[in-house]
Amino acid sequence: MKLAIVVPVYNESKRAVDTINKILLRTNNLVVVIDDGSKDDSWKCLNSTYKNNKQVILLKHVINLGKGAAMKTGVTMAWKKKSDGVIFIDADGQHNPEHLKKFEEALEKCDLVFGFRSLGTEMPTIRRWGNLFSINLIKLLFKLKRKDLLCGYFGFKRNIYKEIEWLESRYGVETEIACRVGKKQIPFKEVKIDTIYIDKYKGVTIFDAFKILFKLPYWYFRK
Amino acid sequence: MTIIGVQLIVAFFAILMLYNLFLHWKKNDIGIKGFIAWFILWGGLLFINFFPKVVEPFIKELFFVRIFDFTTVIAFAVITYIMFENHIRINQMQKQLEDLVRTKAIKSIKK
Repeated sequence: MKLAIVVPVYNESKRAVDTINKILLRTNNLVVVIDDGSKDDSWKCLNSTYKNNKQVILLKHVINLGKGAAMKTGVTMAWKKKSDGVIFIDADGQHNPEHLKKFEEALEKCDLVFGFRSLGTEMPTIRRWGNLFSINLIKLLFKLKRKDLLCGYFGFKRNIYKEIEWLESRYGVETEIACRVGKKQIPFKEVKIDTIYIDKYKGVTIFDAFKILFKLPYWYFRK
Repeated sequence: MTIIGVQLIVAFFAILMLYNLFLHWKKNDIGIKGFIAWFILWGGLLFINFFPKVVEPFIKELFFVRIFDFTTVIAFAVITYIMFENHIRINQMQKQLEDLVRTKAIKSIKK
């Protein structure tokens, strides 16, 4: 199966190249990197490193649109390159590329594969509580049992993209996908990944969490 | 006619907004229809501010106790309408911008 590894990048000049190098060591699949309007040197670093690499496709959003929009651009490019599925991995080093094999294998058997981290003490307390709260809320509203709702390390096959295609352009994308999966009761597998937290000020903040929470009724009632 | 503090504040604000409106009209930031609509709003506020008796028949009809209550309700209605319009427009623009940026990114690929 031909897959594309989609890597959204935003202000990750220090870590993106390292993450992509690790990905390239572990897969022969196409790697689609989207610089989502970074303000630092991310694009310069990526361009100078992978400009002539045929396995890597570099895309740039001229302004920052958000993770969800960057993921969508990656998916569009993957389909354009005739990929059968995609795997998303964050560029900040919080997703270990060593697990890519597990995702690739799981996608052979299932259309949708989510990663899950252990919600133990490795995870910052506020994020652990937020994640547990979201897991239970989604379970209650959408009858969806997930071990880690906010994990951005996941993949799916092309045939189910229409079912889970998200509208959210910012950080609510994982929750929106979970809602769609729950509503349509799409079967999925979960793959254990490492719990790595590098930058505590990046990713979903408490304010983003509230915004996501306010969108839940809309996702619940929407067709 | 005695003028109280609150009337002075409202008058000052309304005149400031009328001047701001005039500047934007001169800079072609706003069309003639928009200019007239905003002029009626701020000019109307200024007029009611100095001649509150004009709206008294409506106030009695609508069971408002004071003119101030009436203007507050009207102001909230206007603000809510503007906020809603802005919300819709911003969402539309965000969507258009997202499509534009994403299409540009995809089209930039030659290999």
